[in-house]
Amino acid sequence: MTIRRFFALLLFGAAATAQAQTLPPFELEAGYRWLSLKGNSGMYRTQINEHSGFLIRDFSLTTTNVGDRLRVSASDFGASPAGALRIEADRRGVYRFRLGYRDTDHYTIFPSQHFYNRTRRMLDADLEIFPEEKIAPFIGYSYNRFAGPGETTYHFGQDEFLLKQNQRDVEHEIRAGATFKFDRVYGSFTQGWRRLNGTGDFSLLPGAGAGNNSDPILGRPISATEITRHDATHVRTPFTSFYITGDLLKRVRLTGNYVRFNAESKGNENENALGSFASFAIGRFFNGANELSTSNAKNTTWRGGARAEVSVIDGIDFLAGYQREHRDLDGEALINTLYLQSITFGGVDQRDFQTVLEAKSSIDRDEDVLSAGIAARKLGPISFHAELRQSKMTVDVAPDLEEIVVPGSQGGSFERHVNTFDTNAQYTNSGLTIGLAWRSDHGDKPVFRTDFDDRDRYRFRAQWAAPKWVRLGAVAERTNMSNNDASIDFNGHIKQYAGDIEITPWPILSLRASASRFAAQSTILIRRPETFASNLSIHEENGNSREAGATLTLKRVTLDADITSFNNAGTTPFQIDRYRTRATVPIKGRYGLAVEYTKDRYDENSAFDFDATRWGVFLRISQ
Amino acid sequence: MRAIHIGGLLLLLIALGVPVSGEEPAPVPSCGDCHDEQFKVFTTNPHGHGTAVQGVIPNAVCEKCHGDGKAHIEGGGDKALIFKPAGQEGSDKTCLTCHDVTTDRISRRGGPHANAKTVNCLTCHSIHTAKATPLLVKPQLALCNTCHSTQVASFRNKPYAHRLGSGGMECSSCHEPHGRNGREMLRKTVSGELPCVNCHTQQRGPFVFQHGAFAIGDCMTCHEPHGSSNRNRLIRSNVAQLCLECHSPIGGNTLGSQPPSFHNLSLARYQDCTTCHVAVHGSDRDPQLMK
Repeated sequence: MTIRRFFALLLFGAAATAQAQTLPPFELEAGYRWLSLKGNSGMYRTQINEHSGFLIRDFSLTTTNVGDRLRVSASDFGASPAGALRIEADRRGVYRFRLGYRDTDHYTIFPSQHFYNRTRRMLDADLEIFPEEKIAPFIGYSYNRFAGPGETTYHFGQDEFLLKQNQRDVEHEIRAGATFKFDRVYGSFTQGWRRLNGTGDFSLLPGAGAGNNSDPILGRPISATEITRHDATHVRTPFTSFYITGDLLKRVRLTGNYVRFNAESKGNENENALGSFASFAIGRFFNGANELSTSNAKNTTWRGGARAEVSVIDGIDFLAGYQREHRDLDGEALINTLYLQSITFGGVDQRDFQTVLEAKSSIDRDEDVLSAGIAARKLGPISFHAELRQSKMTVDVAPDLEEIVVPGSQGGSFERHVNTFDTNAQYTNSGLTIGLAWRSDHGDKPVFRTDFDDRDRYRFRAQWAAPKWVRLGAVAERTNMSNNDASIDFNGHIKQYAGDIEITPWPILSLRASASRFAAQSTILIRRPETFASNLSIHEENGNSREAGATLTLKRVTLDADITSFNNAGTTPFQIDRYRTRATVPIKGRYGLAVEYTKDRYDENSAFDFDATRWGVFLRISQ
Repeated sequence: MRAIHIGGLLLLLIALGVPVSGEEPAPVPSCGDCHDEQFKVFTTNPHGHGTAVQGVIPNAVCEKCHGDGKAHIEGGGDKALIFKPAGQEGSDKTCLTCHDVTTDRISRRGGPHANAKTVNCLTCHSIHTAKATPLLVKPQLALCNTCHSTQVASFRNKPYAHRLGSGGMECSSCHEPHGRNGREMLRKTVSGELPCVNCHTQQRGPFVFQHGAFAIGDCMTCHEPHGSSNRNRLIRSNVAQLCLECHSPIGGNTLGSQPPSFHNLSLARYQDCTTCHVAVHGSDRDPQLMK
């Protein structure tokens, strides 16, 4: 039984058997959902993954009998790909406790033989003691587990083999610190420790020994009778974070911040393979291999800075800030590989052959960001914000010799500056709101080929809600980016337009509709690998969406319905249609009923299409 | 000396709240006498819980935001005689008297949601009739959709997106609504990383061989979190297309443009680079990120 199902049954059992006098006020909606699926189940699970079964749709309980307040809420526990539970408990001036639990299924199928079916469980608990005192200590704990089976391809001996995989990553984090507040100075200090343990086990899938590549290599067929691999990784990360804010002379507010973490990873792997393989690296055929590797990697990152907010007059503030971030990554690995019964491509010198690879790599990255701006929030119906930012990034990459396949461009020193002007303005009067925003970035030498020279983002938003029964909204956004370097020739445009209307002619009826358009195009010069010819790579998305919905709230019945249709005629065309209806009706006393109908249709004109219908019937208990 | 003793006793009685005259004071009407619904909710409201005396919220708690209610009570509930916080002014005079806090992550003055006429505390929060936590006027997805409709639509319209609105993931799982402009509006981890690694811890590294796009850039160099046409939520629908945009040796001196890829892209097996380069976020033992 999964933790999610356990919680679901526990909550339902408690609520269903409770007497009216014994339980504090709560609301529970629980029932059963049926799934009818046509088409590709893998793609359905990748995108939606709601399945048949018992489900707690919603639960909430609030009481003042425990502390000053205890609140428990849960949603989508049971036959759902994601469930959440939250507990909040407080006693004013004494403690504040928060616990959150999330349980999420991750299923992904790829056309390229990869898939995984894993579950992530996350728990966060935080306790603050004496939250209203000048110094308030706190402690916290987080747990994150991601585990489950999968399949992956593995490149070995000049072929790819399908392996089954079992992955398990568990992370624990504990943190402690205190918030403080002395007159006009306040802040927080946190010291934490994070520990990740990850293991992976791989083995050749039955029947996959022939590999993906049926062609022989230099006349010799490549095949595997056994491939097994086990890896283990342990990462320790202590971290520190701190900020302090102080008001000077009532008009100046200063904030300083610092955060640092130092992640150290230790890994070891062992691998055994038997079969018939080839390696161009050693220029030999071989019949098996044993490999052992140990590795260490470090990531030290710190970020610090200061900010000032100067209130010139009430509602007009000058803002300035400086942030510096430093990151250095170092790694080394010792990889010992014994090739069994190897022979040269020419067919001589049969022997076991050992290689020892000692690899080291490092990356240093510094970024300085300087900003200054003004925020005017009380100019009658108008408010605006304008900011200038200047960032400078320096990067030093020292790849290991093993990484260098051909000389050049696999390491080196880079420096890039980006200047940003970011402004927005809003006008609000008599139910009408108009907003305009423009952000312009100008960069110099690119670090990556996709780094822009110029990027401009424009945003327009309007909303009108003068009579209370109607709301009209419109949004238009456009982003242009480019790099005119002759060897890159990068151009990108993203356009998004949306309009929506909500009408409430009577309090019992609400109607809504929207239409939106999404278009993206990017082009960049690439080298086609198979011919080495230069080509323009073009990516396009061209989508139109229409949505409509209605909510009818009668004395005894509430009905809610939505229809969504989206088609994308871009590089990967697809059509999505979604229908959702939900009705609730009281039965007797504290009991009611909810019925749901949901349909999702995905069509990319391939074997991955699906048509999924779900029906749900839920009992509602409210105390 | 006697006068001092009597004066001291009187002061003590006043301090203890004992009526000196011995007469019972006239009962003061409670706000809850008329505002029954708000009163019931307020006992568990973050602003009200822990303040109830024998199950009754004292009027002083209401008056913190609504001002002195004496004239309103004496005027028979005249709405003109009580302050009802609304809009920017309401936020200034009530919410921000306690919540005008600036930290390393948030600013009430400089962020896009800083208190202004268009967007203010009471645009998104409702103290008495909240529909979602923390005291939001609507469930979060619907609330953010009011202004950010294109971003919210992306979660419905793209086939591969984070599941919002169910199972605990909301816009604020990644975004800090009270944050500053640009990337400063992301809800970073306690150790200052992008919010992605709050869940995707296994991609944090560090690795001996880091993928430069991640080590020097960040997750969004390759990924589109709001919804994508690619199963891995990449910014391009085809994997090879994304990879080759950087890994193309054509002039210049950019990171990652070498070594040249020599695979035949017309064959399906080479169109998804991560079929072989499975450890695309980083590897501890393979420079080519193949294991």
